Amino acid sequence: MLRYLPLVWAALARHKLRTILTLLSVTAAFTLFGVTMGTDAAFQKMVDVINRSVVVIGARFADNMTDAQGQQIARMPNVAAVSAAGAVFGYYRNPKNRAGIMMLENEAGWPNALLTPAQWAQWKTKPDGIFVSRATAAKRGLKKGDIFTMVMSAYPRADGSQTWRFEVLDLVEDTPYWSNGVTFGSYQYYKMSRPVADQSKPGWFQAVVKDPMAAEETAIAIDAHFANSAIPTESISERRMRLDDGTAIVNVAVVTRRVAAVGLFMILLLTAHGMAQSVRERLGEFAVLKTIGYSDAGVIALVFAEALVPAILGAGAGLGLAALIAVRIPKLLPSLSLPEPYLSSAVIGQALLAAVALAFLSVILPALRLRRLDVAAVLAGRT
Amino acid sequence: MIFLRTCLAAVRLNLASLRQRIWPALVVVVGVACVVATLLSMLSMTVGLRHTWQRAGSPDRAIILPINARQEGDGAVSRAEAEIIKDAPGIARDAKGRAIADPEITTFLIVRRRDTGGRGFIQLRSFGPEGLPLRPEFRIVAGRMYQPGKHEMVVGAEAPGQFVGVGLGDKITMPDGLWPVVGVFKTNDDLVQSQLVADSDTVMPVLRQTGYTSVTVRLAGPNALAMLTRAITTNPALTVTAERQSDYFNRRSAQFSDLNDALVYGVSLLLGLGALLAAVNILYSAVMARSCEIATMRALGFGAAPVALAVAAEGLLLALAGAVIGASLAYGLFSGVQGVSNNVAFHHTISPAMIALGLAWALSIGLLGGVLPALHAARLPIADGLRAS
Repeated sequence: MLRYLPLVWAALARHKLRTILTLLSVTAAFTLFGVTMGTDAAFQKMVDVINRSVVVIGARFADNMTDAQGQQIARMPNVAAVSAAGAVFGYYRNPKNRAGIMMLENEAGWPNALLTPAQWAQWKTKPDGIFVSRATAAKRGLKKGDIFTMVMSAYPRADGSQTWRFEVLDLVEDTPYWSNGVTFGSYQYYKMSRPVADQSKPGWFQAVVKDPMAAEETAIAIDAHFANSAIPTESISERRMRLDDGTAIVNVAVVTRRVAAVGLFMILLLTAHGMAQSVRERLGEFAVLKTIGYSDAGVIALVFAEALVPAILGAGAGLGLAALIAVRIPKLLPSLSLPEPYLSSAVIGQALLAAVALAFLSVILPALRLRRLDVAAVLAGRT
Repeated sequence: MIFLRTCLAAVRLNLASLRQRIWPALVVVVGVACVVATLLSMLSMTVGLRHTWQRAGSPDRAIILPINARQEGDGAVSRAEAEIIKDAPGIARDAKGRAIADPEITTFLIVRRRDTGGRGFIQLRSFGPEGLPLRPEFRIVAGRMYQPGKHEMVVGAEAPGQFVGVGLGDKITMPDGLWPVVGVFKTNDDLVQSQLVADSDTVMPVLRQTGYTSVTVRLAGPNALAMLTRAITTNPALTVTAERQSDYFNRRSAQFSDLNDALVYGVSLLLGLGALLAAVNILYSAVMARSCEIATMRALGFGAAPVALAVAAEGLLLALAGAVIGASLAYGLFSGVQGVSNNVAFHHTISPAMIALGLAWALSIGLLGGVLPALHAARLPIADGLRAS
C-alpha cells in the first residue's frame, strides 16, 4: 500500500495548478453541501428534540381561551399536566426594537422550556423575573440582574399603564427549538397584573400527555370535547405543529437538497473530466507500470487514490468553511427563521460518502480504458 | 484593421479545433448551465413571491392601521374610529359623496394544506359596502358574489390549489357553522387571490370582533396622503397612522425577500465559483494540449494579443452557450409554475432582466475563466511550444 503513496503524490504534484483548481472547486461544492445539508439537518434536529408528549391547545378561531377550559383539559384521559400560556409583544427602548415574552404557568406543562428546577423555583420568589436565552441576551445586551422594561400597548396593566418592568433572573441556553432566541416570563405574574376582565383569558394551553404515542388522539379528543363550546379548540401535537410551520415558508429541505445535488453534479463533471485527461496524458506511464508487474487492480487503485485525495481534502475544507459560515447564517436571514446549519455526524458522513462516490464515478471511464490498455501498442507509441 | 483581421483569424482557427476538444468544452457548457439554471430557478421563486405581495398594493390607496401595528392583525381600529376616519380629508368620494373607505377584518382560518396534508392557515378578509369601488381589480370569475347579510363567502382563484375544501361549492367552518363558498374571484394576481372574502358586517359578530383590522381608503389626489395623515394623526380621538398601500406591501415583502435574495445570491456565488475554477482548469488544459499549435500560429506571425484573445473568446463562447441552455432549462421548468410560501400562492417568474443577469453571470465566469489561460498562451515561448510534441 505504502509504495503507492509516492506515485500518487508525484501524479498530483505534476500539474500543481490543476490539482489546486480541482481542490478549490471541490471545496466550493462541499461548502455549499455543508451549508444546505446542515440547514436541513438543523431542521431535522429541531423536530427531533421536540418532546413527543406535548400537545398545544389554542382557540379554533382568533380568540383567547378561558381558565375553565384548562381545568377541563386537565381532567381528560391521557393528560398528565396542563399549563396556561400567553405570548406578549411590545418594544424595548425604541418602537423599532420589537420584543416578545412567552409567559409560562408551570413546570409540569412546559418540559420544553428547558429551565432547571432551581430556575422554576426562583420564579416563585421573584414573579416579575424573566429568563432570557443567550441569543436574545446578546442581541439586546442583557445580562443577569438587568432590568428589562417593555412597552406593550396591546397588553395594558390593571392600572392602565403600558409599561412592564422585568428583571433578568438568569440566562438560559439556546435550543434549536427557538433558534432565534426566546424570553420566558411568569404567566401567574402576567395574569395578576392585567385588568380583572382579562385575567382568566390565557392565549393557549400546553398539555403533557402520559402516552406520547396517543398524543394525536388526545388532541382530537380535546377538540371533540370543545366542539360545541363557546370557544372551540384546535389542538395539535407540538411535533406536528413544528413540522407544518417548518414547511410553510418554503419547503427548505426540498430546495436545499436540489441545490446541493446540482453543485455536486457540476463538480463531478469537472473532476471526471480532469481525471480522464490526466490518465490520457499518462497512458505511457501506466503501460510501464503494467509492464513491470503492477496488476490492473493496482493501477486502477492508483488512479482512484489520485482522485480521492483532492475529493476528501476538498470535502474536509468545504465542511470547515461551511462550519465557519454557519454561525452567520441565522443573522444573515433573520426573518426566514433559519436555524444555524448543523454539521451533524450524519452530514459529515454523507459528505465523505459523496466525496468517495465523486472520486469513484470520476475514475470509472479512465479505469475501463486502463483495463483495456494495449501495453505493447502504447509503449511503441502507436496510440 | 490588420490587427482585427488577425484576431478574427486566430479566433476562427481556435474554434475550428474545438471539435477535437468537444468533451472538455461540453463540461464547461454544462457547468455554466447548472449555475445559470440554479440562479434563475431560485430567483424566479423570490421574484414571483415578491411580485405577488407588491401587486396587492396600489399607490392610489392608503392603508390605515393602529399606531405601532406593523401589519394587518396587530391591534384593532374600533367602529367609532372607522367612522371618524371616513370624514377625514384626502379620501376620494363617489358620486353620492360617500368616502371610498373600507374597514376590513382579517383573520386566519385553519384548513388542510394540499402539499403536505398538514395544518395551513387561509386568510379570511372582509369587505364593507365600499369594498368593490375601492378595488376595481376584483372580479368574480365563477359562481357569484356573496350577498351581504348571508353567511357565505367567495374564494380567490389560487386558494383551492393550495388548500383542501375551499373550492366553489365547499363549505368553510366558521364559529357559527358552515359557510358555503358561492363564487371564485380574481384580483391583480396578488396575495388576495389566495384568500377568502366575505361581508364585514356579517363576519364581525360571528367572529365576536368589536373592531376592524384596518381601514383601506382611495386617495383623492397627489397630496391626499399628507392631508389624510395630518388629519388622522392630529385628531385626539384616533390612534392610527396611514401608509400608502403600495409602500405597505413593499415593506412587508422586503422583510422576507431581502433575505431570500441573500440566500439566492450566496448559493449562486458559491456555485459560480465552482464553475469558474472548472472553466479555468479546462481552458488551461486546452492551452497546454495545444501549445504546439499555438506556437505554430505564433511562428506564422500571429501576435500574442490575437492568440490570447482567441483563448478568451473561447471561454466566453462556451459560457454563453451554457447560459443559453441554463436559462432555457430554468424557463421551461419553472416559468409560471405555482409555488406556495406562508399560505400565499405565487407563480415563478422569469423576466428578461433576470435572463440578462444570468447571461452576465455566465459571461463573467467565461471571461474570468479565460483570462489566466489566455495570458499563459500569450507568454508561451515559441521554441518550447514547437518542441513540445
